[in-house]
Amino acid sequence: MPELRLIMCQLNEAQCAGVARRLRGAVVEPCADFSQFHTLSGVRDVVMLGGKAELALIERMLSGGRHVLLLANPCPTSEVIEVLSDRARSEGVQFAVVNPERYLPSRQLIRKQLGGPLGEAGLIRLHRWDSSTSPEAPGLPDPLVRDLDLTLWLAGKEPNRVFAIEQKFNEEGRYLQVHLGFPTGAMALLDYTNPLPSGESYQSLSVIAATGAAHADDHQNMQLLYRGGFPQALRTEERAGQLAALAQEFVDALREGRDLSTSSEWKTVFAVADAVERSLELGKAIALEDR
Amino acid sequence: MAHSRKYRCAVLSAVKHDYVARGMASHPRFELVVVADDPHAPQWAHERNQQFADAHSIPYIRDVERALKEFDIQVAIVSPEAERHCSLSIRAAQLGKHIVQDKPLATRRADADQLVEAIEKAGVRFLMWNRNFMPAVLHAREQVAAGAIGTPYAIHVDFYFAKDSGPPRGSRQLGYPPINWEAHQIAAHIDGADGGLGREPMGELAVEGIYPLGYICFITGSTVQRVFARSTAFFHQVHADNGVEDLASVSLEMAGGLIGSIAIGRIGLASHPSGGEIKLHVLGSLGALVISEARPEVGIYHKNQAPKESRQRRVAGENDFLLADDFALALDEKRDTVMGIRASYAIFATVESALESCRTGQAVEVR
Repeated sequence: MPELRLIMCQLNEAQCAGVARRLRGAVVEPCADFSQFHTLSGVRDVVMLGGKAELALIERMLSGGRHVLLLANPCPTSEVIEVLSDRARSEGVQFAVVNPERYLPSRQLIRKQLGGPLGEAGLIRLHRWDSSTSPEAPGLPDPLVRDLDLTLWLAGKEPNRVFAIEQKFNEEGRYLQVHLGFPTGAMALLDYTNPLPSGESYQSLSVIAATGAAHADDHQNMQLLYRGGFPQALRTEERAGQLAALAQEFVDALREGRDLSTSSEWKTVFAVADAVERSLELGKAIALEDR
Repeated sequence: MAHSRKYRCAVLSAVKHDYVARGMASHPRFELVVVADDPHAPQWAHERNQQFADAHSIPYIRDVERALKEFDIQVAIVSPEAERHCSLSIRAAQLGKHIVQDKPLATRRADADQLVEAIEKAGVRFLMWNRNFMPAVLHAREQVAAGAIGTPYAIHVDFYFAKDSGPPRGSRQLGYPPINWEAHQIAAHIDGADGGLGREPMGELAVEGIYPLGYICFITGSTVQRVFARSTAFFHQVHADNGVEDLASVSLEMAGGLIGSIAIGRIGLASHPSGGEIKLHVLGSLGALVISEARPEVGIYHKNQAPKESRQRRVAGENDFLLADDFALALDEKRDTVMGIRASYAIFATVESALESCRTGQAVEVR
């Protein structure tokens, strides 16, 4: 198979350079104005989109024979995913919506251990404080939807019970807690908040599994800076290779002819997200039928 | 000037956790003077009581009322099998003795109600043994009280004990009988894994839930109004065979709009090198706190280290001393303890509601 070309749109220069340095089996070409993608030659291109999904434009990419990898940041709607997945199928190209959170090295490591040394997941705990979000759009916050996806990916199964509670802080944000129950007895507890003072965010993931446990917590990855008074905590980042890992999997899968469709996984995520909203509205736990 | 009165304590059964009695004895104002239990207690219980009495060079009397009356006792330290907690505490309270009791408060609501009534009618002090004075928990409370994170609006506690409890789930061969709860707990005493000692099976949330729920109430001063919970017997055959949980998660809707949660489990020795991950997350209007309950700690690693030996050792922990100190002050000043009877009852009710939620799959009001 000839070398693929990865056209990176709506991603900044540093992100493109980071992927270009690491990617095997494809060359990287940044595209500053992605509406001009059609001026780039070659129908075997892969387009990696880092911004908001514009339906008409992506449909044109797919129609033009491009495979499209869309980062779920922000998350597209389930309708958009459905339409574009159908279009990709009819055009014989691949379309995938990928949650970048799955490609954090810590998340990749934990996922690889599950089913192996750790055994089956029994309790997943995911905690996120986001101090950088803009005013709330209707519906669930995007990071929480991505965390639902991450949780289901780690659990490897779908929940049958959803309970959610929240606290709102006028225009300034909200705190949301989501509690999932799985048919096997496993459970997950997620929370998300965004009204913290601006500055660093914080994440913590614990997976309690049948034969062990994994804890990926920003708390563990803090270094200390002393400049008088109380020390400052500085996180050592793990994100440097995140996008490259994500792109590599897509490129490898294309070269190996693997199906990359993610629409059914996102369908489940959105069904759970809908149940979260219904639980918030009704103030009770929501049963999800076995799917 | 410091009070100097020394309080004489009777240990009413030391069959479960003798650390409660030892904790009280670590304080100079409390003196263990007698161990007592009922004559009809099983032989293994008499043996444990005698052993404890011998270790402390005090008599063992097989008559609770006689011991309480004849040894000039002011304080009863109650740590029998879980289903006898209330009856022994009630009998001591009826004789005007102050009570220090092991967890859980009770195994039944009716028993808990009677205990509250007995304590309040007698006007005695009550302390449920707890971990609220761990250095990191005190630190968290001080930070919150000082306004470091503003007004708290959410709090979570991870509370995992990295302990085994017999063979793993799924290990029972076809045709073999289920594991007997009480026999298993009696045998588990040797390595301290007998958290739910008693005839009635009790899961991890029912037995240990008091700790994380105690932290939440201690740090925020709020009370739980409604819960949603999930639980499972995920790790251990003895829990699966007896229909009780070894892993649970609970959502808490609390007074004043505060939202809380706990994740709790007896999740296996292999899951942590030093006893288990215990962590608190507290969110407030001005900031947030992430607290590791194990700190301060020291890492100790060496050749030929035993597999069960903690690699990280907690230091500067004065929980036992501070609980006893708080109790002494409560007696002196005739005030409530850090976890008095009403606070203990509120936690019992929260756990009971959480277990009901696990059964029904719905959120449950705490009554």
